[in-house]
Parts: sequence; structure tokens; C-alpha cells
Amino acid sequence: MKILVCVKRIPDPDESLKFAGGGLDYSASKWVPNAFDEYAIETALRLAEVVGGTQRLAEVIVLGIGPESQRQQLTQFLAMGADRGIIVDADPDKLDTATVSKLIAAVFKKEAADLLIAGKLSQDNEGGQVPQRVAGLLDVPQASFAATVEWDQAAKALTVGREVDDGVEVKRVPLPAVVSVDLRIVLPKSVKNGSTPATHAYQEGPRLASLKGITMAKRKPVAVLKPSDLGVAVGTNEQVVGVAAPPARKAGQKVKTVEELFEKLTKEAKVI
Amino acid sequence: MSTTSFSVDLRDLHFVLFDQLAAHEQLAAIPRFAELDREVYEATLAEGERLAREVLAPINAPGDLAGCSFDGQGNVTTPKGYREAWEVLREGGWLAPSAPSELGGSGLPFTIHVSLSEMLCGACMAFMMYAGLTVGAARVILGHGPEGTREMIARKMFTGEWGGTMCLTEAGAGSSVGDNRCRATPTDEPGVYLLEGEKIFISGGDQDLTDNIVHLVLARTPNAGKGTKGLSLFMVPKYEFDAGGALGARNGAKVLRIEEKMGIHGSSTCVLGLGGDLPCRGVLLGQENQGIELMFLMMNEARIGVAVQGHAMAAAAYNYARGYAQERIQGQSIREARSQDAPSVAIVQHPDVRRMLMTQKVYAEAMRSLLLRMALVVDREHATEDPAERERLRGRIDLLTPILKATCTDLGFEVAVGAVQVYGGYGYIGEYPVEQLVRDVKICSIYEGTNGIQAMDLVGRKLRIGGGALFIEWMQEAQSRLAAAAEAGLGGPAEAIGKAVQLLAASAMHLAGLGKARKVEAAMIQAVPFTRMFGLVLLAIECVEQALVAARLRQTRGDEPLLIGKQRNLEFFVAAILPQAIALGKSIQSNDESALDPSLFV
Ligand SMILES: Cc1cc2nc3c(=O)[nH]c(=O)nc-3n(C[C@H](O)[C@H](O)[C@H](O)COP(=O)(O)OP(=O)(O)OC[C@H]3O[C@@H](n4cnc5c(N)ncnc54)[C@H](O)[C@@H]3O)c2cc1C
Repeated sequence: MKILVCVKRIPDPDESLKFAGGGLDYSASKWVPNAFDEYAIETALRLAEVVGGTQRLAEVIVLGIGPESQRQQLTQFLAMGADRGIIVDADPDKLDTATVSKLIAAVFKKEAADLLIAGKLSQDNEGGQVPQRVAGLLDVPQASFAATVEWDQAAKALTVGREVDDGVEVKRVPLPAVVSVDLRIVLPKSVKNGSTPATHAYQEGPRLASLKGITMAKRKPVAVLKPSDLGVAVGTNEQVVGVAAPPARKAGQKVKTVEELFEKLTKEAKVI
Repeated sequence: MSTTSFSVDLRDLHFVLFDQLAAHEQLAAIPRFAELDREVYEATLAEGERLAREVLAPINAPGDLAGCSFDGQGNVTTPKGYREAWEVLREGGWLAPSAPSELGGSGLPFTIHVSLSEMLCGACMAFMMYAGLTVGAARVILGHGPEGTREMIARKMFTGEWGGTMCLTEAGAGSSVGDNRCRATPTDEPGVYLLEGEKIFISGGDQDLTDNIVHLVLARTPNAGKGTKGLSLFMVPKYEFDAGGALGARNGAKVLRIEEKMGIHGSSTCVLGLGGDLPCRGVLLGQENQGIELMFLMMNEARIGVAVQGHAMAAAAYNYARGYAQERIQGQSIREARSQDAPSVAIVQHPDVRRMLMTQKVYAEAMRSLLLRMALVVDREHATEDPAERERLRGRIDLLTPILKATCTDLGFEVAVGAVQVYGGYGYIGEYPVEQLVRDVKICSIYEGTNGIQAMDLVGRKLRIGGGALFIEWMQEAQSRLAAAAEAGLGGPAEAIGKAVQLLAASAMHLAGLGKARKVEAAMIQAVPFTRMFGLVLLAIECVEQALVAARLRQTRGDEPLLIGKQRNLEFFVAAILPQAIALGKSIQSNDESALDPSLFV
């Protein structure tokens, strides 16, 4: 089994944004992996590893699209336990979602992967399109916003619990497939691979890399591909017209009585 | 940033390690670290920061509140969450980052270990003491433990399966280690002794984090002489073990009581009885009477470790204070003092708050720079094959260690107190994190040799080695660093600091003169002020060096706040802090002996 996991580097969402020249100023940004991608790698590793043993049930490959020199987030996933990496050397600012999806699909095919695990969205622009597009391009089944995953090794299929508006939908998807993950996938008992005891409780959240993992990460193979190697033409059909900070909030109004508040809510704001 | 969340100055750590010291390049020249590079170091720091924030910071305040508990039967329970955190650090190899990887450590440079310690101690100092003492004890055992089992034992300790302690202090023997009275009587078994006596204040004397604990105990053999020269060092396990490390019977080293104390409540401080209800077997390390010598082998690193604790607490305190000052709204801007309806502002707008923050920032950043420079010297000293080079580097470590220990721990306390002041009343309240830092960091100026003892070590021993050779060599290097700074355009500050260096040298000469005139007491009154002055001068030189690097980087990276901050640090240090060093220089040479008047303090 081969599991492909995507990692995107984004400016730290906990830092405040800076604006310059009609756009965002990233010059002093701290770059971090998209949190949902961290959930994705955690999911992949829980599927691949047998707790208490050394056996691996799957090879975990991390895919990053971006300049070759900016691979720190990919290295971080290798340090967490992924087996090898692939970098598609391209300027992510010049790629739209459609192209990114094509690149991922091409790598998936080239590797003959069985499963793509991706974050449900990236926290910087919150597009939330890539996994679905990749599934479409590959013409394989998909389960998005996964909160639980169970792997039926014999049947080569996954049972995925998805949190939807009116409850939990349980889906069974045969492999190969695409799964996008949500926050709850990293709860202690969300992932079961059929070999680790089903009662095992993982540490909540994406794992910390071990120091050994960090020093070993450098020695893991990372292949660098160009989009042309994958037969994908780079380009974008998206254009950023401008980025500006939202207008500052106007001062509120002070009301003296509940009646006055009610009056304003019904007549002025018309919200009740 | 929220008021109560712990944070680390990762950017400044990067600045010091990679821009200023080029640690990655210096370390790459050391064969053992040749495969490591900046990327590995950055990844290590990034993950260490997460560990500090996510695993250790959350157990800090609850551990302070709950403290350790004792069952009266010799068993200590650490606060809730400590065991889980120990497992996380153990599994990830974070307990002994710079121990050899063949022995369960992570094989990183000491410089990176120190960087990690800043974050991890800053997040929970009490917890990290268990790790620090375990690793320190393991190093002694690796060097001098019983042949055949020393590596097995060290591995168990580096991996956190077993813990370790250092047992020097007794009720009658604190600063004066030579007054140790614990007895060690040989048995028929070669190398095995029976120990009797009582050690006090033993950190980690018992805990529930590890399967076994290996105590390193100083004791006196039957016909040994008085003082430190008659002390021997013994390895005393909590449980006996065989050559494979399988645990056997309970040994007779047992905790009788734990202390209630001011801070570090999560770290057990134990009275350890030796040979009370059970015979207490100890294995001699090295030779008889070699005890203090073996302890000294790890003394410098242990003292640097305490200096790092002091700095870690300063850095944490400053980060909290800066965050709080941005959020707390109180008072109007002084510029709008006359306006009735001027808006209230965050306290960071008030000049006096900015002055406090500036003081904290300068100290925290300059100490970081000083400690990491020292850590690199330690790495190079370990690595070098050239005896002359090793001698030179060791001399530098010997000279500066007491200064770093005393300066970083005293300033750690001052910065923590300053952070409380920034918080105002909220700083004094347990709900906010800074009062704990004050209580926790205070111990750093006391243990591992009080700062008074450090100062005596500096003035009474280190300055005198080779007729002042270590000092003179340091001074020549300082002067050439300052000359380089002057050449690069920082002539004004370099000159001011150069004067302080001159005054420091004159003060050292003055103390040497008092010594020659047999006015030892008059000289020793000035030991602590001299150490402080030396520390301030060291920090000043770091400031000038950082400003220099920052000016160079601004040409390519532009006016990043961090880089501008380095220029301001230098200006502030020279204007507001360096004069303290000058004043100390004057008072050191004042020949004042008033405190020695025997009619006082009666
Ligand atoms: C929380 C805590 C943890 C500790 N952990 C350990 C541990 O793990 N292992 C261990 O062995 N010890 C430990 N200690 C003991 C610690 O190292 C000693 O407390 C310290 O060395 C000082 O000794 P003392 O308390 O006996 O003070 P004293 O030696 O009595 O000193 C009192 C004062 O007199 C000064 N003084 C003493 N002698 C001189 C002198 N000759 N010249 C000038 N001034 C002098 C000192 O500087 C100090 O200001 C710990 C202590 C505490 C409180």
C-alpha cells in the first residue's frame, strides 16, 4: 500500500497579517505547514504503523509543491515518520487550484498510489477544492471531511466517518481513493488500521517529531520533479485583483433601556 | 499573543545561532556533527518550541499549585501530568539531546542542547530539573562508572528509563562541601562500600517518573583526610541491579522527608537517609579520595546549565510581560494628558513601561547571545584534538563559567521581578504566570554553588590562574572585538565599552593588590560586585556584536524590527546599564571596609 500525503506551507495563521502595495506582505512571515495537512500526515502514519511493533503496513510519501529550497515543512513530515518525499518544483503563486490538482493527480498516477490523504482545506485561502478535484481527475472514489477512518485490509477498502450538517455519514470507499481529513481525525481513537489493537488510544493531535526522526529526516530520499516531467503545463486562470484589510469596525451604540434595544433591533437592524 | 500563553523567541534564537555566531558552520567543522546542518537545527528548534508550548507549559502552573507529595514510606509522587510529559520527552529523545546517540542520546551539539533548554526550562523549570540531573549523573557514570556496566547504566539514564541525582549537601555541609560527614565503609566485595549518613536538599531524591534512581553520593572513607580531598564518590542505586540492568532488591537509600519551599514545587527536594532501616550499598567511582575531582569534571557544564535556567526564566518573563503590556488598557497617553476624552491606551504606550520592557529585552537577548557563545566553546573544547587549543578553550570556560552562572541567575530573578512590575497587581496574583517565575528562578542563585561562592571562585581562583593569564587573554580578545566594532562604524559604543573593560582590568589589579597585601577580606567584600561588573561588561560586548551583525543584515533584509531592536539594545545598554558597571568599578576600588567592622551584626 502506498499513501500519498500533501503538505502546503502557509504563513503562520496565528500571526497578524501585514498589508503592502495592495497585497499581503509575507516578507517577515513565519512559515508553517497547513494544520489540516498535519492531520493528514498523522492519519497516514497511524494507518501505516503497527503500534508496539516495527512492521509498516504502508509506505507514506509526502508531496510538496513549491520551490525546492523551501522544503522545511516537507522535512518536518519526514521527521514525523514519512518514508520519502517528492517536491514538484514550481512557484505556488503562479498555480491555480486546477493546476495544483493536476500535479497531485499526476504524481498519484506516477507512483501508482493507493490512497491520497489531504487536509480538507488550506488555512491561508480556505479554497477547499483540491482533494475533490484530484479525485475527479483520477476518477476514483472520495470521502471528504473525514473524522474517522477504518482500514479493512482484506477488502482493500476504507470505512470513513464524515461529519456532515445533520450527523455522521459513514461511507465505505474501495481503494484507490482520496480522503480529505477534518480536525477530529486526530482524536485518540479516530484511526484504526486493522493491525494496531482497536482499543489503542493515540496521543491527541499530530505527533511531535522525535529528535532522532529530525536528524534522520535528512537522509530520507526526496525526489525533485518539474511540472513538465509530469506533463502538466503550469499557469493560472485566477487573478488577484487586490487584497485589503477589512474596514475597521464602527463604534457601537449605547442604549439606555431594554425597550430601546428591542426597538432598534426590530426597526433599525431588522434582525428580529 | 494572549497574556498567559508561553512563547519562545525563535527568531532571536535563529539570529544568534545562524546570523551572529554561524554556529551551523562552526559545528559542521566538527566531524561528529558533520552530517547535521542548519535545516536540521531549525527543525529541531521548531519541534522543541512545540514541545515546550504544548507539553510542558500546560503542566507548569498546575504542578506549582499541586507540588510533590510524600507518603511517609520513602515514595514521592510528582504533580499530575509529569509522568505523561516524561513519557513524551523520553520517547522523542528530548531528555538527553547532546548525549551520544549510540547510548540513547540524540547526538546533537551542546549548543543546540542549550537552545532547547532555554525553551523547555522556560516552559517548566521544575520538571526539567529531573532531566538535567539525570543526564549530569549519567555523564559521570559513563566516564567513571564500573567497567562493564557503565554504558548500560548511562543508556538507561539518557533514555529516561532510570533517573539520577547529585548528593553533595548535608545539614552541616552546604557551601563548604569539605565538611561532608557521610561515612563509607569498605565491604569484602571489591569496590562496594556501605554508606551511612543523611543528605539534604536532594533534587529528585525520589520521584515516580523512572523505574530506578541512581544517586551519586559524596562520602568519606574510614581513614580519609579532612576537607574535600578526603571525599570519595559513590554510585548508590535505589534498587540493586544485575549486569543486564534487571532490577533486584531495594537498597538502603531512602527519602525521609520532602521540603516545603518557595518555588519549583514540582521538583522534589528530599532528605535522603543512607543506611537507615536497610544497609545502603554504594559502588566507588574512580579511586578513593577522587570524589571532588570527579564532581568537578561536570561542574562547569552543570553551572552553565543553571545559568541557562536563569536566562530561560528571564526570556519567559520578558515574553509574558511584552504580551501583557500590549493587551492591558490603562490610562491615557502622556502626550494627551490635557485632553479630557483622550482614549485609554495599552500600557505598552507608557514610557515607564517601555523602559521596563527595554531592560528586560536587553538582558534576555544579551544573555542568550552570551550563553550560546559559551556553548559553542564547550562544543569545540569537546571536539578538538589539539592539546594547546583544548587548554585554551578550557581556560576560557573555567574563567567565564562562574560569571555566567552568577550573572544569568541574578538577572533572571531581576527580569522576572521586572515582569511582575509590568503586570502591576495582576503580576502578584497567582492566576497570572509571572509570580511563579520569580519564586522558581530564585533557587538558581543559590544551588550549584551560591553566587557568593561563584564570585569567590572567580576572584580567588580563576583570576589567579597563571598569574591572571586567563583574564589577560580574555581582555585582549575583547579589545580586538571592540576594535573591529569601531572599525565597522560603532566607534562610540565600542569606546564606551572599551573604557569599562579598562576599568574592569584596573579593578582586577586592585583586588590582586589587596590579595598581595594580605587584605583578603577586603578583597572578598568586592568579589560579588566584581563578578557583576564582569558580567555586565560581557553582556555589553554581546550587544555591540549583535548590533554589528544586525547592521550588516539590514543591508539585505531591510528594517526588520528584530534588526532595528539590536541597534536599540546597544544604545540602551551603553546609556542605561553600562554606567552601572562603571559605578561598580569605582566602588570596587574604593577600599571601603565598613562592613568588616566587628562591632556590626552582633
Ligand atoms: C531547592 C533546592 C534544591 C537543591 N538541590 C540540591 C541537589 O540536588 N544536590 C545537592 O547536593 N544540593 C542541593 N541543594 C543544596 C544547595 O546546593 C545548597 O543549599 C547551597 O550550596 C548552599 O548551601 P547552604 O544551603 O548550606 O547555605 P550556606 O552554605 O550555609 O550559605 C549561606 C550563605 O553564606 C554564604 N557563604 C557560605 N560559605 C561562605 C564562604 N566560605 N564565603 C562566603 N560566603 C559564604 C553563602 O553564599 C550564602 O549566602 C539544593 C538546595 C535547594 C534549596
